Amino acid sequence: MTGIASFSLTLVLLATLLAALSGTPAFFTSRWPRLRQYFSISLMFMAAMAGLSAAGTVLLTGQSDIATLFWSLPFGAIAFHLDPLAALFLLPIFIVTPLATLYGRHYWPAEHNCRSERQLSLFSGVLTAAMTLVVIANNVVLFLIAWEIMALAAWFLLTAEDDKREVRRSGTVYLIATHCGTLLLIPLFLLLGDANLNLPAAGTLDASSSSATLLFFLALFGFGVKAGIMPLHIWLPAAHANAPSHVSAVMSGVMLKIGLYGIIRFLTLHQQLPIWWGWVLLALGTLSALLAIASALGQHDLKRLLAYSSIENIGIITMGLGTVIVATDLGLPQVALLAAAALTFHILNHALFKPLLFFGAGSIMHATGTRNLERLGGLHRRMPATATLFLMGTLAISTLPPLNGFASEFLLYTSLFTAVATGNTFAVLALAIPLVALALVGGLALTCFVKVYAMTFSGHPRSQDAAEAHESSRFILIPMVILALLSLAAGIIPLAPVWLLDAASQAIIPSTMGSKFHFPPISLLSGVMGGFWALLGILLLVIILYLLRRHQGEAAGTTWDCGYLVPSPRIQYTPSSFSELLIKLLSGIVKPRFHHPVLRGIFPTDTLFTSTVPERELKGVIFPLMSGIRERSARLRALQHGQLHLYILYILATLIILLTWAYL
Amino acid sequence: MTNTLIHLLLMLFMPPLLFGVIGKTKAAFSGRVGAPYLQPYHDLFRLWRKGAVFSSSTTFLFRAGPIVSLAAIVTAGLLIPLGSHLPPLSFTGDMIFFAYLLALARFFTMAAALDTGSSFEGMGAAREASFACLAEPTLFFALVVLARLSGSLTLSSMLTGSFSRSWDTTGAAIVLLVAALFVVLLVENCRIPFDDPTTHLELTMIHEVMVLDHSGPLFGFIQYGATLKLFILGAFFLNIALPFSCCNDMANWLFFIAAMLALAISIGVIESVMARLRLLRIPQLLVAATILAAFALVLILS
Repeated sequence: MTGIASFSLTLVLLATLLAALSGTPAFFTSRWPRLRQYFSISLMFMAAMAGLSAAGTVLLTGQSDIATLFWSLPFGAIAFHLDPLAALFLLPIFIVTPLATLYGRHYWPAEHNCRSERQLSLFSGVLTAAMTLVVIANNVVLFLIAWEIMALAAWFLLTAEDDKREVRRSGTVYLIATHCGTLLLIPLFLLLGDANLNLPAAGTLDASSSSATLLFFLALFGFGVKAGIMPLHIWLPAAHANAPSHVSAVMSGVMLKIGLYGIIRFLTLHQQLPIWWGWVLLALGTLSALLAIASALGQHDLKRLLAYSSIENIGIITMGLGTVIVATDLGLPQVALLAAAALTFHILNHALFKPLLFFGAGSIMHATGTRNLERLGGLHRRMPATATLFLMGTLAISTLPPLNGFASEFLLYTSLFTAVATGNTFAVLALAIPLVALALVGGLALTCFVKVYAMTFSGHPRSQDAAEAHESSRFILIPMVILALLSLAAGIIPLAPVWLLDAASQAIIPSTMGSKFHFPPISLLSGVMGGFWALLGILLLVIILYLLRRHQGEAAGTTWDCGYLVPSPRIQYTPSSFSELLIKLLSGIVKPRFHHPVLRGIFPTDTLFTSTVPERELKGVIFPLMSGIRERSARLRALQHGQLHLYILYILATLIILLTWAYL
Repeated sequence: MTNTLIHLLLMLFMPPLLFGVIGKTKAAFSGRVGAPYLQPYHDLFRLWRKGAVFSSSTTFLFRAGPIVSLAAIVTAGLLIPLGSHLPPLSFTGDMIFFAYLLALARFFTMAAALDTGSSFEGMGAAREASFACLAEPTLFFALVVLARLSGSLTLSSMLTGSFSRSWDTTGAAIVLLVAALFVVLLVENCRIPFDDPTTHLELTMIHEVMVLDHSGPLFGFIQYGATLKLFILGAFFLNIALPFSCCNDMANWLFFIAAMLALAISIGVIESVMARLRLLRIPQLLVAATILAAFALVLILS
C-alpha cells in the first residue's frame, strides 16, 4: 500500500462523493431548474476527472490498495480494494455518466420536465456512486448494499416517465429480475465472506471443493441477470427501450459491465478454475450472441434493437472469458493472454460505441418523436451531424476496420485461431465452433446495422414526423462527438488502450504473473495497425482519383424509378422487408409473428400487415409460468381478506407457535 | 522487390482481363464471337471520361460507397499471395483483416445502395446482406482448416507453405475445402448460380441492382472493384486448389497467370451450363458449403 495507490483510492472515494452529491439539490427543491442541472453536470465532470485519473494511475502502475474506514455498517466494516481490475471498470463509469448528464441538459431539460427531471438528476448521481462502490468494495455487506442501491437507482431512472404503461411494466419486470439476481447473490456472498465478512484475496479459493460448484452457479445466475447473459436477459430489451435515452446509454454501456465485473471478480478469487466452468461460459456466451443478434434483426424499435445488440456484445465478452479459462486449463497461455486482452478491450470499446448509438437514438427521438424504424427515413438531410456520428457508431459496432470494434474482435479471433493452430484435437474442435459462430454473429450484426443506419438516415422520410425533423442542439451532439472521437482513436491506435488495460488483463489470468509488458497483444496490434494505415493511405489515393474527375460535371437527377410517374416514399424497402429473408431463415430460433391481412371481396378496404419478433422467453415461458402459478395459488388469496383484526390474529398465532417451538 | 512490383502490376491491371475471358467463354458456348478480350478495359476508360449523374435523394454516402469499397478491396489485394510469391503486406492475423475488409466493402456498397431510396436497390441490398452473412462461416471454417494445417496465422504462410502441397496426406479434406471455397468464390463475386451478372431484369438481380443508380467514374470504380474482388478471391482459391511451386520466379508467375485464366474459363463454363438458382435454394447451398468446410476440418483432425 504505497502513497500513490492510497491517493488513487482517496480520489475514487472523492469521485463517489461528488457523484452522489451531484443530484442532491434536486432532492430538496424544484426551483432554479437550469442552475440545478448545470450544478449536477459540473459535479459529475469533476467526479469523472478524479475517477479517471485515479483509474489511469492504478492501471499504469499496476498497484492495488486495500483500505478500511473507521465507520462500520451493520454486520460489516467499510473496506475498499482498488486494483487494476476495478480500475478497468471505473473507466466506463466515469467516461459515460458525465456525458449522459451533459446530454440530459438538452434532452431532458429541467424547465420542461419538472417532476421527472428531479428524479433523473438525483438518481443519476446515486447510480454512479453506487456503481463505483460496487467496483471498489472489499466487504460483502458493503458490496450487497451498494449493489442494491445501484439496482434501485436504475429502477428510478428507467421509470422516469411513469405515466406511460409500457414504462411501468418494463420497470416492474426489471425490478423483479434484479431482485431475483440479488436473491442468489446474498447466499453467495455469505458463503464467500471470511470472518470479517471481507472478500477473500485473489487466488485463494479452492475451486475443487464441494461448495465451489454451487458458488459458481450462484455467481453466474446472480450476476448474469444484471449482465444480461441469455437466458437471464428478459428484463433488458424492454427496460432499455422504454428508459430515457441517456439512461439507456448508462445502463447499457456501464451497468451491464458491472454484472460482468461480479463474475470476473468471483472467478479471480479462485486459484485454479475447472475447465468446465470455461466451457459453460463459452457456450452461454456463444448462444447469447447468436440468439440476441438474430432477435435484433427483427426489431422495429430502434432502442430495443440496440438493447439486443448489447446482449450480443455481452455474449462476446463472456465468450472471451470462457476462452481464458479453457485456454489456461489446456495449457495455452498465449491464447489466454490474447483472450483476456480482447475481453478487457471490448469492455472499454462497448462502453464507447454503445452509448454513442443510444445518444444518437435519443437525438432521433428528440427530433422526430418516434423510435419506430418503420416511420423514419431521410434524416440525413435534416440531421447531418447526428447522421455522421451515428454512422461512426454503426461502423464501430459492426466491427469494421479501422474502428475499435474490429480491434477488440481481432484480438478475440486471434486468440481462438492460435488455439486452433497450436492446440490439441479436442481444443480445435471445441474452439472452432465459437470462432465460426463469432463470424456468423459479425455478419448478422453487419446486416442489422446497415438496416438501422440506412432505414433511419437514407432515402426518403416514411412519415410526417421524420420529414419535419430538426438537428439536435449542441449539448446533445457534444457527448456523441467525444465518444465518436474516442472510438476512432481506440480503433486507429489500438496499442494505446490495450497497453493501458494490460494490468487488468493480467489480473484476469490466474496463473500468469510477472512482467508488465506482454508482447503478444502489443505486437499483434502493431501488425494490424500497419494494415489500417495501408487502408487509410489507399483510401486517400482513391479519394484523390475521384476528385480529379469531378470537374467533368456532376448532374442532378432522380433515382431510377422504372418509369413510375409519381414515386412515393412508401415504395422504399422498409426495415421489415430488409430483414425478412434472414428472419424467415432463422424463424426456428426467433419465432416471428406475422399478422396477415385478410382480403375479401373485389374491392377490399384498407388493412394492416404487422410483423413482430416478440421476446420469446418472457412471453413464451415466464409470463405463462407466472400466470399458472397465480391461478393455482388463487385459493391462498382467501387469506388476504383485508380485515385488520384477523391479521392481528395471524400475528398472535405466529408468536404463540414460535414461543412454544422455542421452549421445546 | 521485383516480385512486389509484379504483384502490384498484376493486381492493378490484370483483373478486367478475367471478365473479358469469361465473356469470350460464354460467347463460345453460345456460338457467338463475343466482345473482345480487352473490352472491360475500354468500358472502364469510357466510364472514366464520363460525367456523373447523382440522384437528388442521395447524400455523401452514395459517393463514399464506391470509394471506400474500392479502397478496401485494393488493400485486401495487398494481403493475398499471388501464386507462391509473398504478398507486400503481411502480419499475424491478416486473414481476419482480409475477411473484414471485404465486409467493409460490402457495408459501404449496401449503404450507398440504400441511400437512393429506391425499392430496387433496397431489394438488392437485402438479398446481398442475407447471402453474404451465410457465406462468412464457410470462409472462416476454411481459414481454420488452413491455420491448423500450416500452424500459422498469416495468409502468406497459410497459402504458400509447403503443407498445402501435400495433397497425398490431406487430399480428401482439400477436395472438400476446394468445393466449399468455390461456392464462396461464386457467391462473393455474384456469379451464376447465385446471381446473374448479365440479367437486365431488376427483380432477378442482386449485385447489379445495387449499383443501378451509379454512373461515371464512380461506376467505373465499382466495376473495377468487382473485377479486382474476383481476382483476389480467385488467387486465394488457386493457392489451395492448384499449389504449384517450381524452379524460378518467372515460371511461377507465368503459371499463376495461366491458372487465373483457367479459373476465368471455368467460371465462364459454369455460367454457360447452369442457370441461376431460385432464391430459396441459395441459402441451402450456402449452408451445404459450410457443412463441407466443417467436414474438411474434421477430416484433417482425424
